Amino acid sequence: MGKSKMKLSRRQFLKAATATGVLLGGGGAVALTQKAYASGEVGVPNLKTVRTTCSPNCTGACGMNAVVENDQIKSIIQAADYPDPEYNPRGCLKGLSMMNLIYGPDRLKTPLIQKGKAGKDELQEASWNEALDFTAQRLKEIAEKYGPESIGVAFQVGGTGYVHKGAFSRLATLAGWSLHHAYDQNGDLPMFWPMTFGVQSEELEPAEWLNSSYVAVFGSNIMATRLPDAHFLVEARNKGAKMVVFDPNYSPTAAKADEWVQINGSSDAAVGLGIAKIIVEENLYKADFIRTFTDLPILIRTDNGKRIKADEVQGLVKPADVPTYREAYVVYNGQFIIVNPEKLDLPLDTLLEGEVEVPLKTGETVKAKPTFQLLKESLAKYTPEYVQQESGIKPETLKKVAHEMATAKALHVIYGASNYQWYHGDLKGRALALLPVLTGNIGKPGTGISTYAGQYRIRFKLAEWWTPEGRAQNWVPFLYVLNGPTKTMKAKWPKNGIKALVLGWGNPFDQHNMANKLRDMVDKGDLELIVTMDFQKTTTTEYSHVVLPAVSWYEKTEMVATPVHPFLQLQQPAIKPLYEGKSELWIIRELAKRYNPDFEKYFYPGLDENQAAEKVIELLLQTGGPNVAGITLEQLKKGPVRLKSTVPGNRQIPFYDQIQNKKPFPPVSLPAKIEQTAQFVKSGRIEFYKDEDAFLQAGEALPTHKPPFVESEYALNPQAKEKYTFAYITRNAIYRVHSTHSNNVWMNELQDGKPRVWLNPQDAAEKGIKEGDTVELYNDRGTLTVFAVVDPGVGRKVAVFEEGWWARYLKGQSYNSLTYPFIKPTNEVYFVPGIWAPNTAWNECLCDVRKVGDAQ
Amino acid sequence: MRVDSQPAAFSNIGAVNPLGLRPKNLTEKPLNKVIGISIIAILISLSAWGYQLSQGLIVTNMRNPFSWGLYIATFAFFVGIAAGGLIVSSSVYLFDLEKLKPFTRIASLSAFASVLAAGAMILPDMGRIDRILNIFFHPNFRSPLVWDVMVISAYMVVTFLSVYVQLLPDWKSEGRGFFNGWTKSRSLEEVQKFSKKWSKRISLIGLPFAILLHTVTALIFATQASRGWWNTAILPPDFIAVAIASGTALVMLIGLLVAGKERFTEYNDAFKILASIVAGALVVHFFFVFVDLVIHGWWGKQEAHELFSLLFGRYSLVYATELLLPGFTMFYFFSARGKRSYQSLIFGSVLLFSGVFAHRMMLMFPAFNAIPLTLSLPAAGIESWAYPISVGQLRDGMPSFVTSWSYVPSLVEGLLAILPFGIVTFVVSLALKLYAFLPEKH
Amino acid sequence: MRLGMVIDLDKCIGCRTCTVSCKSHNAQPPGIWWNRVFTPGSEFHQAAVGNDGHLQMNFLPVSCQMCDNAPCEKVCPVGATYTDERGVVLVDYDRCIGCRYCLAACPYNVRQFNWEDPKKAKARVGYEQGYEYGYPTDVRDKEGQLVYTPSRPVGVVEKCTFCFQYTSKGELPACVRSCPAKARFFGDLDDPESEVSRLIRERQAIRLKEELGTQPKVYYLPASKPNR
Ligand SMILES: Nc1nc2c(c(=O)[nH]1)N[C@H]1C(S)=C(S)[C@@H](COP(=O)(O)OP(=O)(O)OC[C@H]3O[C@@H](n4cnc5c(=O)[nH]c(N)nc54)[C@H](O)[C@@H]3O)O[C@H]1N2
Ligand SMILES: Nc1nc2c(c(=O)[nH]1)N[C@H]1C(S)=C(S)[C@@H](COP(=O)(O)OP(=O)(O)OC[C@H]3O[C@@H](n4cnc5c(=O)[nH]c(N)nc54)[C@H](O)[C@@H]3O)O[C@H]1N2
Ligand code: SF4
Ligand code: SF4
Ligand code: SF4
Ligand code: SF4
Ligand code: SF4
Ligand SMILES: [Mo]
Repeated sequence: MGKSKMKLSRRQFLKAATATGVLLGGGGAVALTQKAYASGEVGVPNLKTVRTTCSPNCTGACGMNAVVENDQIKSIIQAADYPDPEYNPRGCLKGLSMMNLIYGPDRLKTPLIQKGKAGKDELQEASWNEALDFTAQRLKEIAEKYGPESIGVAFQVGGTGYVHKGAFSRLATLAGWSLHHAYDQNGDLPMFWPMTFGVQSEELEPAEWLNSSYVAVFGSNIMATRLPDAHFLVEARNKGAKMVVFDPNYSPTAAKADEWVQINGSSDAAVGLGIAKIIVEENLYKADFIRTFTDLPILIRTDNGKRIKADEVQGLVKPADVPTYREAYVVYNGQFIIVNPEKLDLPLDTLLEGEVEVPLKTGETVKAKPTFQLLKESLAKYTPEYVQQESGIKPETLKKVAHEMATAKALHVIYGASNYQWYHGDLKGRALALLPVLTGNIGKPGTGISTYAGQYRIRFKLAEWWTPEGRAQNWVPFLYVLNGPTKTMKAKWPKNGIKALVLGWGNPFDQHNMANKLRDMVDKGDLELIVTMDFQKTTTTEYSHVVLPAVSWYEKTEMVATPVHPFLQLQQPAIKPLYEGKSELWIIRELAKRYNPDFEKYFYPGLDENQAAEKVIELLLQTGGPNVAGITLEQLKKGPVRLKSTVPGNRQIPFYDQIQNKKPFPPVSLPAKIEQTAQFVKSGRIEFYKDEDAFLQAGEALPTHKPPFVESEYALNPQAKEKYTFAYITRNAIYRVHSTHSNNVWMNELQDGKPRVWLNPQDAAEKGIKEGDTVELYNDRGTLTVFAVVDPGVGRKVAVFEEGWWARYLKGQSYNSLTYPFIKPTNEVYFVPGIWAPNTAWNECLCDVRKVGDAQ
Repeated sequence: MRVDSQPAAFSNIGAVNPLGLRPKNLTEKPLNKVIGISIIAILISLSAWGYQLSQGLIVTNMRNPFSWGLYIATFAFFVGIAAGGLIVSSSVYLFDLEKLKPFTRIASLSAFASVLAAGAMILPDMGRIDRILNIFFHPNFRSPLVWDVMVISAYMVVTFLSVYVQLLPDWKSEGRGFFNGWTKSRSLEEVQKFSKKWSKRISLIGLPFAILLHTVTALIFATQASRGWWNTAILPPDFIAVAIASGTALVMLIGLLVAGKERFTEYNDAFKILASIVAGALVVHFFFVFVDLVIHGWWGKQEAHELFSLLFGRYSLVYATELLLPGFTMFYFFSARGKRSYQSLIFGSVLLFSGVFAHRMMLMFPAFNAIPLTLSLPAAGIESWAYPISVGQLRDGMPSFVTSWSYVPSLVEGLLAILPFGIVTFVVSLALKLYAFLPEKH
Repeated sequence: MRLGMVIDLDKCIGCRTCTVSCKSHNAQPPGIWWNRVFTPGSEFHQAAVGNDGHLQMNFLPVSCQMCDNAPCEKVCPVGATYTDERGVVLVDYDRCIGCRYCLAACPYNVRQFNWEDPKKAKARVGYEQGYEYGYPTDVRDKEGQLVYTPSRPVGVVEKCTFCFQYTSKGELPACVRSCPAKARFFGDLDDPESEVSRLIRERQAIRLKEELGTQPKVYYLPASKPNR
């Protein structure tokens, strides 16, 4: 290569170097790159780069450039083309090594059909026609025999692919099959959200972290599970924000924090309420804020614990304009005032503490107290000493953080998934929500409470594509499939149960095989048909009767928008589908027409799979509503586009409208209609008091702390208390997206290819376990063989396992055989798919640990 | 006298036999056997090499964390014994040890054979033997390896010449040999004078070459600040000491075998002197070892702690071999008993060789199993933590990154390392078969 | 021009993305890693270090330190290892004789040897027939020395090249471009205005094994947290 190429001008390098700076990210670098690739200069091969979006279930949705040479992806690098440069470069080690999956040994080549026993016998290669005909035939039989609703469909996070997953939803809707919403199935639905704010979930966009002055992280491992956004937290800290991590285990996130506060598993509610007590008793709360935006002034009957409705009180009439899904309650400021659920305008002298006698229309007078008064009373028991006993946190630490939070200019609480994936995850969230609310840290830059689980929030209207002709859909929470129906359930259970599963974008036979139920149901024949679309052989494909080879996000056209960052992006084919792989839209179209010829017309027949996908994208953009208004396919082909929001600058700040413009709670949670979600917070306010019977019976009307396992494991089997004393905590690894990349050769090199359990040194010593030993984690439901990491950062009596290993790497055992599909009654009070539904509690699981071999 | 010495010469040759047993009748048979065996040995090692060439060095047990092993150790071993030769013959002239004079030919021969073997041993260690000439096309004169190549080649020439000139008179009288056309026109006396004069000269220039050979070979290691175990000024002088001991021992061993039991008494004094040289050199060697350990140990650096745990823990057995066997030989050769008998001398030398070989292996173990990039984290109360190295091979159940590599030569390495032994035996026995190396006393 | 790299250990979250982008963009065979990231003091990456509550977890990426006084270059008998005019230490895959002297010499253990034919190793992993990852063509410096080739010859050493195939065109190295924490910086150390020079000045940059006098051109910015 010529001298000219070798010599870099100083300017060039300045440019390149500054390009890596905090502000410009890799942006500048990419500019350089694309120039270099574009100019077909001698020595440089004819490489083309194709911009697509990496979107597995981590929901990171990172823009990637695939470097392609004669239809092969040679390497992948962040596109780093986000218009807000601070978001560049988004990406991680998994996304950059996708070639290992795309071209790897587990890639599906052809359709497969199980002619023998699923999970036992070899699957047989088949042609697309065979496979599709067979599948359609079996589905029809099952639909006829048990009803179409006995066919269950699961396709994971909507936001990672609106087109192809939409096609799936579209067919299921047309055919009247049941749909399993991924959010609760995954345990990612933070139930405190609908209970407290009436929404599915909300979060600050990561760039907003820079505006916080205090970040309280409760069991979220941002530095491992939000790799592309982690830098915002470090930068916030270096800008002076204080970062405190509450976690039983010392994590990379704890390592970057100013402080790590070690607490016992599932004791966060105790901590949160302990802090709330200090804030309340020392009058550090914002009285006007809670009067205006919360239900804390609302009067509660002391006899039956119900909120007093305006209609019940003498001389009060519920305003006519109150929608049916809301309720008008009563507060007191010398006289009784009706709380209009559509307005946030209570007088600032409204009573918060004390007791009043309320004359009812029935003639009787009842005693009532403002919610705040009851809260204060219920907080009495959360003395620093009690909190210490429950959580292990030192009283002085508790007081310190309480004062810091109360006085913080902008307090942001991050509530981690692992943390709410416990039986009482809802209670913990409700308790932690008190901190930003009492201190008035809601709806302002850098404030609030956020959950960064797999991000499910739908960003725009989908109905036109997802639910043809507004037809009704049958949603069945997946926990019922594993647990069986309950008496208290609101969701409609198919009369013959679920007999077949049609799956895509998921690997439930590792990830959701709680207590080994899925395998057992296949073995017993309760599940008569499993159809799986995937681009590689997984544990689930092994247990399937039909396997349909799909394609990765480098082989198809798709549109992506996950809430973790506010950009709408495309997936664009960088290469032709490998082997016989086909995109899901194509697969579903072919299946639909075989299942029922009338269905074909719903899927752009005659168009090639990528053209069809583009048509769908155009449809979605046209009908997607205000958030995508004006955005075109052409624009997206040029690069990512920021979604619109009601916040100036289209920033992503939850409840901005509610707080700044006094709009009633909740904001809409798409795709649900407001009447579905507003019923959760009938007062139109942030609610800490739930007076539905299930809550009253459970003693959970107000946020309270309940110790783990009592209502779950011990209720299931009282012996568990003695037999199994280790909490089986399954966190996420940087090397996998759940089970995706389990088989990625580089990821495994980086872990020596060994699944591990992290143990506290004292526990390890007591069990005679040394670093690297082979150990078994076991309970009545299953046994897991792994290698020990003795880690001084791990709390006592916890066995931390990094979830996602395929059974292949665990002697055929699926790591979820230890867990159990507990269902909490308060999660069944309402049912709105993926918004108020029974949420899976992965970490509500006990086990014991034993050594089986020495380290080699 | 040459003529009647002929059978005698050959009869002694009959004594050359790896087991040191004397055959009943003095024929060439046993010698042929040895030649045969050495040829077979060479063929075996060559086929091992062939296999290695087809598969790559993956067939060895070396990997990134332990990148030099048996081959380099064996190389160093033969460089060592190569010295003895010229040191003996030159000391004959320097300190005119008349008694040793009869051994100068054997000395030169052993030196030549050993350096040839050393040179041969280096080659299989190269990943790209096909590019070996790059050393001559693109030499980097800052590299001790290049210096070594030069010295070794020079040493080969010198040792060859010294054998050559010493054999010239025989050839003249027997009317055979090679490169000796020019002697035709000269008389036997002239040739003998020439041979005498030049043997002396060559031996004298040979001495510095021998010293240089070891200094430079030692410098390959000693220059590397990355490896504490090597990076000491003591290494070169110690190399020389060990070389004198083992080299002289080899001369003595060959001498013993050539002389055989019955002529042992004839050369008894010579052997005594040789044994004393060996023992003396060992004293110096152990002195260096001692000083080295003290210097490493006294300051008590963490590196030293690790080094000692390797020496006296993990590799204590090899290290014991390296210390005890030569240690024994040293005392044994000082003692009258040790010097006295044919067997005792052979016994002592064999122990010595094993010890020195262990010594050469121990160049590698502590050097490679102490990771250069080792950090101390005072904040965490950790004095030393070795940064894991990528192994260079992906194998099931084997980590891709390690902080130590338990190196044991593979079978292929073992077989391939026979090569230099084969070469020495072959060259020596062939030379002995063809020419007289131990003149009759008169 | 003296190219150098700065790694901000305060920003580094130990995610190993640089490790992987380096591996893929430079077509490193299975078992070979030019760029490692570990947790000093810990047996397993990202396990805590310390005891009784006083814990720490820092991450240290290590690739070729691009020594100004490079032992690997000095020991190389055939000059296969050399420093180009931008101060980048490179290996000529055509010239290397595989003596592995440089492996013994490098104090940072960043050099890797091709013990077997990489094609065989890749075949064992089971990639699709004939699939090769990484920058797809040979790259030679202006003297024509082969400093990059997608499938390495058996028996030669390899190591970080500061992504010659990119940086020689004014692009940034793969690890720098891919680091999601923006912890890696690259530029001209001779240019006082360059970001690398500025960071080294302002943040008491340190170098590994300074005492050996290898004068690395890779600098580390200490984690700021402890002094806050
Ligand atoms: N690399 C990677 N990133 C991912 C994913 C992935 O698979 N890989 N998955 C994505 C998805 S779908 C999800 S849901 C998120 C989940 O990501 P996170 O919300 O970060 O959840 P985990 O990583 O499982 O655990 C985070 C921490 O919770 C702590 N923890 C566990 N129980 C408790 C508790 O009771 N109290 C407190 N205070 N802490 C507790 C654990 O010790 C752990 O340190 O990650 C997303 N990001
Ligand atoms: N015990 C325990 N269990 C858990 C968790 C835990 O913390 N503990 N975490 C839970 C959580 S939070 C989650 S989100 C779930 C995740 O559970 P899953 O989403 O089921 O797990 P993944 O491994 O992400 O499965 C994704 C699958 O989709 C395939 N895939 C990827 N892209 C495509 C595509 O474009 N088309 C098609 N057809 N297939 C594709 C991948 O190959 C992979 O097999 O696991 C849950 N399970
Ligand atoms: S795996 Fe997730 S975080 Fe990593 S690049 Fe892909 S989308 Fe981004
Ligand atoms: S990519 Fe950046 S943050 Fe991740 S390990 Fe490398 S340097 Fe550290
Ligand atoms: S780090 Fe090692 S390989 Fe890199 S220049 Fe320095 S000595 Fe050479
Ligand atoms: S292995 Fe190659 S690069 Fe290293 S020193 Fe030998 S010839 Fe030079
Ligand atoms: S500069 Fe290039 S070769 Fe060097 S470590 Fe970074 S990515 Fe690897
Ligand atoms: Mo999730």
